[in-house]
Amino acid sequence: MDKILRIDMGAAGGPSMKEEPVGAYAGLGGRAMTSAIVSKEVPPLCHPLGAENKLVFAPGLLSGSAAVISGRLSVGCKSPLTGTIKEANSGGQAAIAISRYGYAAIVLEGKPATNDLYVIHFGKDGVKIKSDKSLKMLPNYDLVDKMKAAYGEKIACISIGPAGEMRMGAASIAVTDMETRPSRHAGRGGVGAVMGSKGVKAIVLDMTDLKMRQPKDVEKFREANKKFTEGLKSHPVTGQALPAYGTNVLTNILNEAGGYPTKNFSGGVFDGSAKISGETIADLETKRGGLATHGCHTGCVIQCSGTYVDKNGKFVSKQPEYETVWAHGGHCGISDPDVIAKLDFMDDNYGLDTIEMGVTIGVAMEAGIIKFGDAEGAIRLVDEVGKGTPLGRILGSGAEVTGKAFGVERVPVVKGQAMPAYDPRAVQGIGVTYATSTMGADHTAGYAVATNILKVGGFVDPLKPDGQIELSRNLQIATAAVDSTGMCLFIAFAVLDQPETFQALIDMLNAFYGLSLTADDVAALGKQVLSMERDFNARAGFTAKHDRLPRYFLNEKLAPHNVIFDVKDSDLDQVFNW
Amino acid sequence: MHSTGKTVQVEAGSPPSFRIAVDSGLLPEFYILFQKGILIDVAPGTSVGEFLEDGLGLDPDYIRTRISTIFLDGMPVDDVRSARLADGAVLALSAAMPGLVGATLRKGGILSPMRSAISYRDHESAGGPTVGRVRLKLFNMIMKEAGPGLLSKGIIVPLSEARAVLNTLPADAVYREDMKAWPAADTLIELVIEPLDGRAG
Repeated sequence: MDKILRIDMGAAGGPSMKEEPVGAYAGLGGRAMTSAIVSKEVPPLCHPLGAENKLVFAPGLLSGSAAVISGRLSVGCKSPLTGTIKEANSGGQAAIAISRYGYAAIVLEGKPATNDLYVIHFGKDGVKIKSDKSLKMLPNYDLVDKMKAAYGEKIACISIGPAGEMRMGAASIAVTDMETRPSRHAGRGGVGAVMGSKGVKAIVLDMTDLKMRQPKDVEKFREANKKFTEGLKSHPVTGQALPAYGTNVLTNILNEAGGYPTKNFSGGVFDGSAKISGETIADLETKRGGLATHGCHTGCVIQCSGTYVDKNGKFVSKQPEYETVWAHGGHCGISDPDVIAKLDFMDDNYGLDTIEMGVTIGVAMEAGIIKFGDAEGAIRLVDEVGKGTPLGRILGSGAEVTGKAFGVERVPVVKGQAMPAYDPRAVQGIGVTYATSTMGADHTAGYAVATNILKVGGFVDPLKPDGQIELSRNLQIATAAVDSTGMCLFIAFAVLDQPETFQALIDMLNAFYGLSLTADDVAALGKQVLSMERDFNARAGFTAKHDRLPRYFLNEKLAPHNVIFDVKDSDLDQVFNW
Repeated sequence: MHSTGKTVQVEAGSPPSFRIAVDSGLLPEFYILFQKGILIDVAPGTSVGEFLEDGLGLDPDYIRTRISTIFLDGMPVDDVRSARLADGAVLALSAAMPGLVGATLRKGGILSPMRSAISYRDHESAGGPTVGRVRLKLFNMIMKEAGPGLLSKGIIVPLSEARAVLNTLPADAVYREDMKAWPAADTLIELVIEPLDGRAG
């Protein structure tokens, strides 16, 4: 991964390519790479859909190697949804493919002068770009079928659906999984709209005979990888709960805690939670002949995903994640798993962020466009988005725009991005992360943690909010670091409890690259990434007043605990004071 | 036993006992009852720790290492020795959970300050009945691991919920004709499910 491929989509005479050494970006991967390029090369005041914005695809430092669970892809740009810097993260096969072609990053630049739609193909004969009008407005599943017919079955495909072509704020970028289904998504922040603005419909990477990347120290790497794998498999979260039930194992838990945002964040408990819990859906999938345990990319040993089938055993969608089940389920008052799976498929097919879409529909319900619990109505609204009707255009622009268009006060967004599936009044620490994250309301930005990074020891008082600011800060630092490795963030749980598992990750990095990194170096990388992102956002015009939750979270009590978000602004402003 | 399924044996009592043996492979069909919650008699003021060990018969090591997330009336519990059950309480048990928030809710976890607003707080109980009943919910791995043992000892559930689950079993597992004679009123029953083959499922 010693080169960067730059593709100027607006070059005179048609798209042109340039390969160059990584240069100043050496040693960076994943989110560190995307944020470094965007913060250095994209004018923060540019229009996100204009020629000055760049769309960066970066595999992680260990992607394409034998390191387990290292296949995550980072996609970075200035976000058309938030106006901030953005890194959206996806599973699937693309990071493995890009890294094995030797690229640390693929950067789409410029903007075509025409409305042509392009496919960028990576194969044994090099990289070729061609326009193909027949792909216009194809949903992702149909598009991928066409790409398989044209280029063979052994491909990884990065694509946008109609939503990205229409440059909607909720548009995602799809990445194909091991079954070559466009079921994994770089969802957040409208990255699909940026890809659409560059005129790129699909990036197709032929994976035939691609060679695994080799470490500098084969033995040490193998040993560290083995320890890392053992740590993941022995941990109850990564070794049992996630493979058995997926992320949706959280539905019962958040509901019990009274922190499950229900009917547009108006309550913390949903009556229908048992019908859509991870336990119930895993059982349903298994009975119907689907899969409750499935990996999204080669080398995943957690296998938190699955396949959801209908009562006749026919494929409907990948197993919906917790965030999707919540957004289209409890948030909208819907408790039918078949409906939720259908909505998940529609989002994947049209190329939409399931969180943004689900929250938007909840806001639409609050506006009275349809009623809470109207499953058929929700399906109809997502269809309108995919077809680009006037109402669909509003909804596809996200929750904030929808709230403004229909005069809704209670719109759960930060920096324009919809809140995920945890009410910040019940778990105030996640509220600190929502408010202060460089990405807008984001549940994964402050995710990963290792005890030696946290440097939190001894007794903590669970009844006192003290330390929440420090916790959020350290979590965001550690997450930024893990995002740079290409590792799935779910390693965090094993890493939190088992310092030897975190050490194994560092040992893998060292053995692969011939380095001598310590945990402090990893923390320093995380801080560096966050500093770059904060700097970009500041130059884009963001100030402390944007690091806040919507006011009604400070005033409106959340049942059943009757709590508000009461972390002081002055404390929020301390999160990044290093 | 009828050729179309085993009969549910009904014994008078307070509550009446409904007993059936099923193939261990069918035990998971009953787990939905644990998600909604079963009722268990308890002496009010019993600590959560005592209830788990003495009331449910769970191993102390299992409680300490496996039941990583506990809610009492929706509040995350950090100390099972001091958290006490009142009549009408709702107790939920779970294994360690994923996600930042999952880790935050963990019993005694270092991220616990992030949910201080809803954490369980010890309080003096004001007296009350000497016999009480709590709702016990089991989720994810705990549901699978502790569920079969509780099913074979007997769980208290509304008759309607028991009926709903029994109706989903294969026809050769339960004789449904007798179920038509069960009262329509939704009384509480003790449901006892024993594995036919002696395995826990």
